Amino acid sequence: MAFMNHKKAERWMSRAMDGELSPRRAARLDAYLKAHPHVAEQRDAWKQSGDLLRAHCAATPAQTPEAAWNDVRRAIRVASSDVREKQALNGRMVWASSLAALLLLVAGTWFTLRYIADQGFEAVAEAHRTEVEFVETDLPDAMSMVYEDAETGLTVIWVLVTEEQGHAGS
Amino acid sequence: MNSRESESFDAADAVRRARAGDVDAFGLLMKAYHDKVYGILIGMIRHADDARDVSQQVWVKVWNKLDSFKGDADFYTWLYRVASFAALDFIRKRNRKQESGLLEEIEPARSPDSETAPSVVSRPDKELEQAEVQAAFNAALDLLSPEHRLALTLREVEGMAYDEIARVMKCRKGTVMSRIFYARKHMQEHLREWHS
Repeated sequence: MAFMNHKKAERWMSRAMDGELSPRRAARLDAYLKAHPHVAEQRDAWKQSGDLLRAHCAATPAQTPEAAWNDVRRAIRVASSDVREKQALNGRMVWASSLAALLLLVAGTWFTLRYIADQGFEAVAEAHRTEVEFVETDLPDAMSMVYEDAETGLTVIWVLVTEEQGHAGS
Repeated sequence: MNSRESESFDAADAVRRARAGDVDAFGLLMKAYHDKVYGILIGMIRHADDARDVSQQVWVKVWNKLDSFKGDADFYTWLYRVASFAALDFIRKRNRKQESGLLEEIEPARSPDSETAPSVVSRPDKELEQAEVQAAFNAALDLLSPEHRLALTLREVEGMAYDEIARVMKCRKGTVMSRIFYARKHMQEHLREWHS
């Protein structure tokens, strides 16, 4: 006969209470409990726990299903209108943002074109041209010359040194 | 109405219509299973007002998630799973709030008859003893983990079989057996200490 002890009997007893023990094992358990009645006493304590739990759940007042359904139906309506409102708000926000961005782009382009038209393209280019007023050099006894080439419009810088040092220009 | 009788009112048809947006069909489902769902929640949460609030949240969630019910299991198994996990979530949040001192100790649900403290009103001894046993039982239940409490509630209150409980709790049948056994042992030991 397979081994049976107190711990195993307890677990089988719990399963037997719930109708989850096979007939063969239930018979073995019965035989063990007859020989060890103090183990069987636990079954009464477990049944009492079940009774107390059922009594607790039954004693507590509950809403009627009709009253509960009224609450749930209201909650579903509120939840649905919240979702619709959020979707509408999101849609409006997207439209508003797109419109604002478009207006900004149009306004910026208009102002830029107007400025260029007023000042002339050359004036704009002139405004961005860098002017060289003088040139400093560390070469001893060197002279520098700066002028604008009339043909190309480029700024020419000359640095003149004595014959011993040679010439340098750019 | 027990779980099997609920199915005979053609829950499948009500589910199909509810998924198509028929709110009245959903109302039929809700009324059919309301007491069962509430029974699980009160067994777990043990506070009537909280259980009512969570029950409402469960049904709104079920309505919103009807599309995710594939029909591969009984509707009530899926429903009990939603309710069970809602109860577990609520208990975990409540325990966290209690630990951080944000909540007073939650008093267990009382029936209308037990609103007055036993010491104030004289009652027959038997009723007083029953109230005290119930209070000791409630205290023992509070010490169980939410998962053990749920397994015991589904078995003792809903009369569900182990494999049904396993489907609801998304665990193995062996785990269900262990949880129920452990819960019973714990309740027995706690009540024995109280008696002694």
